Amino acid sequence: MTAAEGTERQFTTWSGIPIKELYTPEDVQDLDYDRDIGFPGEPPFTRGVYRNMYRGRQFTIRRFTGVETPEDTNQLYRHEIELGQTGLAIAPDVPTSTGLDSDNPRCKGDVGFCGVPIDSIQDMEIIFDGIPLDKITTWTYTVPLTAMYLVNAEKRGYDLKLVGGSTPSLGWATPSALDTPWEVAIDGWKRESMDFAEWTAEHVPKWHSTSVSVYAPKDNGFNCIQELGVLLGTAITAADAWKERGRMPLEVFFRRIAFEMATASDFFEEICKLRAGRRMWTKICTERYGITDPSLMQFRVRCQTQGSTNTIDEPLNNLIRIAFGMLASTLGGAQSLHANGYDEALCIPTDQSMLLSIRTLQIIQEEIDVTSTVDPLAGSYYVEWLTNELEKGTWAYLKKIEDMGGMIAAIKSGFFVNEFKRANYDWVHRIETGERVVVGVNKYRLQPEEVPYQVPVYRFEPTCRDRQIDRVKKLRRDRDNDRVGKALKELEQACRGNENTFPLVMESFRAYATLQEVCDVWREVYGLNPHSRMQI
Amino acid sequence: MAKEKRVRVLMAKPGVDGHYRGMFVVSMALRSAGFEVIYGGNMSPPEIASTAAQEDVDVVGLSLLTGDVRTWVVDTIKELKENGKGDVLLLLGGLIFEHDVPELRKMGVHGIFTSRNPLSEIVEFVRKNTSAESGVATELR
Repeated sequence: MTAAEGTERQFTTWSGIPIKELYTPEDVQDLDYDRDIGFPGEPPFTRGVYRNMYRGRQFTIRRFTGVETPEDTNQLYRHEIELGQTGLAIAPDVPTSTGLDSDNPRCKGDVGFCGVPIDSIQDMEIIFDGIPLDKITTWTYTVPLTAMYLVNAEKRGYDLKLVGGSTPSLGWATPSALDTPWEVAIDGWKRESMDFAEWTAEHVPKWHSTSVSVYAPKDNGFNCIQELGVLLGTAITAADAWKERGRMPLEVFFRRIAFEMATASDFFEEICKLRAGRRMWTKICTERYGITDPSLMQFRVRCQTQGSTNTIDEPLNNLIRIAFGMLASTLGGAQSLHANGYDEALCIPTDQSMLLSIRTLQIIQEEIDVTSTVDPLAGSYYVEWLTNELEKGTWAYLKKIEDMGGMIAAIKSGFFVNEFKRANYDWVHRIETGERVVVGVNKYRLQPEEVPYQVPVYRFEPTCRDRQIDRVKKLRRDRDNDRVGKALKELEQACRGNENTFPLVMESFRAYATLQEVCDVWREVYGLNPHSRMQI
Repeated sequence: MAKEKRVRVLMAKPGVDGHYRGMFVVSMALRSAGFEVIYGGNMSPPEIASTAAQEDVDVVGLSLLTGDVRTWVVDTIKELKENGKGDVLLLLGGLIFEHDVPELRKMGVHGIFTSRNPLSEIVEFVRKNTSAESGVATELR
């Protein structure tokens, strides 16, 4: 390419912000250091939520995993801890994330396939057998699974005040059953997450109970502006709901909120979105809610490499993509990271890819010296400019959500389903047209036989399903069914009334109710989410 | 002149998995290529077969990402045959292990596609193996 051609090509970030050839002080001339950047650990937190960041506390290495059976998953978690993983995250199989039991005919081919089946606290007991629940924190995917986790902790004699973890209870915008747990209508979901947050604030104070997740929309092609918009829009709607309920001070909500994002390929945008997110959250806390205590304004964030950025072609290339992505999230100041297995596009992680993803994060933490100083990219003309641009774009997106009446109204109107579809389509279109280069896929493509290596692939053992089905059937025979029936009845009454439902969810699980039995109560009372199964 | 019958395609995702992108973009691509697409979303094998029969489709496309492909394919083919639709052009897309491919072909899956295949290849495959006039799949029968 000649220099003249080079100047004609349009360069944009993934979210469509035009990129100039060069950035200079002029691009950031309105920036005021104290007002816009400041010091880490202080408002507006642009440089990080903690004063000394990774020097004081490394990000948590928390991979999202689960395999075939509770027994296998227990072995897996023990192995992860031995390798130096510092947090756990339960990856349930699809029936479990949908709130269906393993013997439900709807999910015959889904049991144990890409995650662990959890039908009752029996399974939770097995998964965490021998794992010290006061020493490690766990990300528990849905509120019902969190209830099971806490019942198990209680049965093992732990003081719940010492048990920590997080639940992405506010993933409201995802029009997919993957992230709309048990397909319940949004009003039911909102109620469940609020009840849960209130109860844990009092009884499990270390739990991040109001975690907002935007992983699924991002993985389906949302850009960083949409991602931040959904994240902050959901947090605002949830804070408003908390305020409206008026049962607990707003400060309690802000104390326990956390955020979950997905890391895609645009290196600088992925860094700057975290900086912009922190600054915007500070403004929302102070200007919108009048929060004055700086410790309540911290935008703590977990990032996971976006599965859709990994390719089936030349799978080892994914190792490089994942390392760059995780480097970006580290430079952006994330608190917890999940590096995908390089074989994400092929199968669930093999032992080899698990080891490599843990090592990727350990190398970032301890080998390449990027965590020695806080926010090392601050002051870069491009980084500060792009942080500003992302903030501007996100405020505009938030305005759009507000104009629709907030997140819940926007979800009900179908707005996010359409955003989701458009993002799906655009993502594929950009790759098919070559607008976005994916090396080895739409450029430098080799025929499979020309790739000089093969990688091992995880092989699923289908008999795991039969064992799981037998276990849940046996459970239903052996338990005290009167106690289960009574607990579920009380849960239903609570759902129809105003009292906090969460203790009754816990009581149902204590009585060995199954996941689906509990979720069916919610489905019955609140109806199904019309958007939980994306239609066209 | 007799009205030309368009080739009808049922796109479905057996089970409860919510990874919809593959099914969605393939459906859009087939639609813009002029095929009549019935988007079934998540369906059980009996639902797929009865819809295929009621809608008299020529092609059934299954999208699978997190499920046990063999279980769903075996059940779906069995149901299709029982509903008199054993002769549809059967496509399978998503995360398909290479080691499963020979067995899947033997079971009767005609086209297998992963994220390696551009959408145009899928469209071309459907076009080549169906005839617009009769709506009947040729060649592979």
